Amino acid sequence: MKGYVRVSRRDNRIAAAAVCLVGGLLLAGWFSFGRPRAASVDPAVAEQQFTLGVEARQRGDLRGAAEAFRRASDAAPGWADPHAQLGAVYTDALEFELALTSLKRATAIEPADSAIWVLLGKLYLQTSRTEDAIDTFRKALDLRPGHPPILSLVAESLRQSGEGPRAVEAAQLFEQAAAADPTDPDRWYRLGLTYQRLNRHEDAIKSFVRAIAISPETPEPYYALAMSERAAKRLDRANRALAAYARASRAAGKRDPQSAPNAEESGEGAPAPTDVLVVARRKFYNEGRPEEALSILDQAGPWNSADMSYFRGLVLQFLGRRPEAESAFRRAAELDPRNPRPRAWLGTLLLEQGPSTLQAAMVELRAAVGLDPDYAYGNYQLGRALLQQGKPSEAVAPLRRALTRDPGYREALYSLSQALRQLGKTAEYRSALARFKKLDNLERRRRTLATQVRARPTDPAPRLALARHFLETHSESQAVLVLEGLLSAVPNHDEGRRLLEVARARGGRSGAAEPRD
Amino acid sequence: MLNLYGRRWLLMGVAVGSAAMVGCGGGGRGSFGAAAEPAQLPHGFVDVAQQSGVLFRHTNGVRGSHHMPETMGSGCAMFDADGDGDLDLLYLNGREFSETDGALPVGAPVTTAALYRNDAGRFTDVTIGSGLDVPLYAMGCAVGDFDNDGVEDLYITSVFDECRLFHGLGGGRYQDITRVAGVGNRKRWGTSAAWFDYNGDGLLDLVVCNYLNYSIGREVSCTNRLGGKSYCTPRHYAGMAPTLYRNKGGGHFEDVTELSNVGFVTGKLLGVAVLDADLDGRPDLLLTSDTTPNLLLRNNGSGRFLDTALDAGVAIGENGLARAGMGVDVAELGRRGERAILIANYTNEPVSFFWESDRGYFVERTGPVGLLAPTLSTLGFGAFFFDYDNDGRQDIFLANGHVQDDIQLFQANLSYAQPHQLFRNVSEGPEPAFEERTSEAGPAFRKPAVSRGAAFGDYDGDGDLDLIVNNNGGAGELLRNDHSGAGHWLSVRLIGLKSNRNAFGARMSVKTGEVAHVRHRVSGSSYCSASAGPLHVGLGSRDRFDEIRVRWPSGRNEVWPGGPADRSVTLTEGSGKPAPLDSERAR
Repeated sequence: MKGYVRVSRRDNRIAAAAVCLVGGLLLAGWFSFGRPRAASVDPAVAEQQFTLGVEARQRGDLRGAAEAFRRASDAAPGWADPHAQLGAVYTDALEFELALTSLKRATAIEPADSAIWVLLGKLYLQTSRTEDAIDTFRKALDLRPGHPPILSLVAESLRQSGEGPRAVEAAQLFEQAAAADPTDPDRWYRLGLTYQRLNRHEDAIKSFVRAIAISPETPEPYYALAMSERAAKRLDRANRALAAYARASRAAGKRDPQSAPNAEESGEGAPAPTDVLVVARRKFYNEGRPEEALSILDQAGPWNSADMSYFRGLVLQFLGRRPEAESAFRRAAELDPRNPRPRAWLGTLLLEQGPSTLQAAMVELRAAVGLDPDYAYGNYQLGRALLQQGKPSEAVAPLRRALTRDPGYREALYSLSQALRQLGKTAEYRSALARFKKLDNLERRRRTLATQVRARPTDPAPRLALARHFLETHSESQAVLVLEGLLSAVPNHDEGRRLLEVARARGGRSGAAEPRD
Repeated sequence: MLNLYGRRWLLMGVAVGSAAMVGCGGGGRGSFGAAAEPAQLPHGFVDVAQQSGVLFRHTNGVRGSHHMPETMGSGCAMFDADGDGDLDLLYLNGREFSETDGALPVGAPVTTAALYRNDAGRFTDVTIGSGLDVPLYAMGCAVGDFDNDGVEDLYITSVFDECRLFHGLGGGRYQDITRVAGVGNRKRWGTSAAWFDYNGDGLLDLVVCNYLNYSIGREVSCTNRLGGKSYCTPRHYAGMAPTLYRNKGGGHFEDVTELSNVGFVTGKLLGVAVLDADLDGRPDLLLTSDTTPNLLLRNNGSGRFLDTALDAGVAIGENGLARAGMGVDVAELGRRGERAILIANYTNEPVSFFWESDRGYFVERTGPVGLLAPTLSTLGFGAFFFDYDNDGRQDIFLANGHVQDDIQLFQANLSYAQPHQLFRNVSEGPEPAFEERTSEAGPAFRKPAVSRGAAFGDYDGDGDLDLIVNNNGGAGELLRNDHSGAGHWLSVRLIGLKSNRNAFGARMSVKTGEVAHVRHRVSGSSYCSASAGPLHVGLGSRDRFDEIRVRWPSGRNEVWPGGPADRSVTLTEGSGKPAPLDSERAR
């Protein structure tokens, strides 16, 4: 919701704040909630601090942003924007209680500002308070009737809240929004998901096709389309859509299983609070904060959707909490028995437990590959398990299948090389190992550069090097991600701009890339 | 109480080569009966450091700035420092350091390594005046008699200082001859080191692992997720080549790092094990690397080395990923001479257990042998095979401890201090199988610590292997093995004549019935530490052994007749009967 960061309107607000400053401080004693207030009131200081806060937030410095917005609100307590922005920063930092306090205060100061209601509604949505979210977005919609983004938010919260009449209303609101602004692919995609819930598969297909037409590189609508085609009994089309999904996923630099499509979004399984998953995924993949991702999932309440359970399992296994991860994957497999991913991960966990669970692991891995014979991760783990059992000849086939689906799958390539070596196929072994070495060198270079970027966030050099590395390895979306970060920190960096143009010209797009590990 | 084993060995030093095989007295278990010993022996390992006089406490110079060396700890050694035949203890130490250049700040307390003399199981700190009482930010050590004069010498690696070579003068006194010898390894972060005779000239050469291209003056600043300072990961720094010194004799060494091709490989090297990987009779080097592939430097016999780790299957894990290799050890565990390699790794990575499936080719079997799941949540440093219960099968010890002192904030199931782990080899078939026995390993295994270096040896001469552990910023441990019901044993000291005097590179096989217990005499292994006692073999229920065969580094094969178990013997090169190659593993 970058459009709701209203820096441009701050001049009017600051003037109003200055007018009511003296009286405001006296009258609005309820503004203060335990925090020591600034001794002096200064609109210029407030504006300066507000600008600093916006800049800090843009560069990801949440602590600095919160501090600046706090100072701005101290300097101009009657100005709603610093409170609203403080709420947004707290939301990003997962400080939900503090966020709620700030946003409520902002709405109290500026009850006619739809943008603040939107921020509050999104907070409710993120914390699974769906009913509050619906009410809050409706207030925003009352203030800006027919505004497509707010229509979509009401619709999405309705869609997440249940079946029946609410889904019908959600569809109507999405239709209204899409009619007003037909250029947003996400809106068509979500409309399609809503139709799926209403079993209106032909309408869903049309919506997904619209979404794909606008944004053909986004993988998820292909998967959803495949599910609808499957529901409409058109299996050929469904398979074609699945193949397109695989291509788009690879192109977006995503690898199974971490890019698993949301089962709920694709019309399967129980409802899930999508935004919670989005935020949790961001915490896990983009920010490397698995504990926080887990906390978000736990706050979302019982994990009763397949996708939530599956993702929870991924985070737990990453944290080394393997028994809990095993339970989560089992739950995900129960909720969505057609999804091979939780079964493959369950198999992996069992495989790594040792000899006593090897047979159980094989059952799960064979089941996963049975559900999706081209599933790269499942095939890799099956091959790995067979190799561990001293069956290199049996391991070769699934490892080759994994590599057919994902030729850059280093782990599978290494296992294949070892299987070939054990089979005495020296020439093939050498070839596979050489390919592995090449991929491994590239990956190690990527990791080194990524580490340097993290260590020197204000230094453009490692970001440029990393972006160039991604361009060299045809990971354009990853390059875009890195270059956007660079230009956010150093807006006028000429080489950064040039490379960004190159990356975009080659098909890289913003927000399409997730780290592989 | 007099340590009979030790005193007799001292006497035997005079008579080297005179006896075919010399028995060194019996003894039995708990022979010291030291006053400090509890009335009832608990089972398992008991930390007797304090009660035995070991009051060492490691200094790492931590002041909150999170400089990387602070978290890497130091090693330790069990070796006969004074030549009296029993095992003395050495705990390496860090020191305070300037945050600008790493030097010892003026007025800062001076800390040094601690050398403890073993007097019948009681220890006396003899550091002062030993020559080792110099403040170093020490990391690792290698014990070996580089000049074949019958006295163990000591090489100590360091991060902020030059590495040092201490020439053993006898009686536990040492002289620093680093400059003259030319082995300072300057401006490198030395970690583990090992003595080995790579060119077969009977003189021990030296390999030194180097960790990172690091200097405190250009240290990267790293923060945790809360914005606080944290220790950087090794990915923030480039790796380095190991250093290889050739022993020219006369107390002089030549840096042959480039000449030998060793300078053309890099890693973030923390551990070294010496083994004859390709069975060509020449010692090779396995170097573990932190976050980059391990190195296996194959000795081609003409003074050059080539990295063959990937081809040998030991560079990375079976999952195709490089791990954070720390301590390492190699043992010949298989009935047909198959070797196993053990490497301690990071948390969320298991230890690596590589098994020799074909001549010189290893496959990772960590999961199938039962080591994967129990080692995923620990971060191992010290790691080795040793037969703690004398059942004839080599077990595993891991000294654990995380490197991030705030890890619990971010992964609630992990902790900075972690307990040691013990795995018993319960193999009945051709391939090993291990069961974790940590919970039964005694009180010392229930106490979490930030452990780094670890070594083993039978310090009290009671016939079972004890442990020492150096804890980062903590008290040194001396873990006495009080396991009850352990089997019979044999302790064998090898003395090379044509070969290097330590007999590093020798392979010894002790036969009991159809079973051959094989041990290799090597320097290195574990993390930054030296287990430099005699070779120890558990014989299980057998109270006799049938024969001992030794293949010396010189290539000579000899056999000695059997005898009763539960004693120490010394075998000198040339004193046995010439023997054909060991039929179980032709070389």
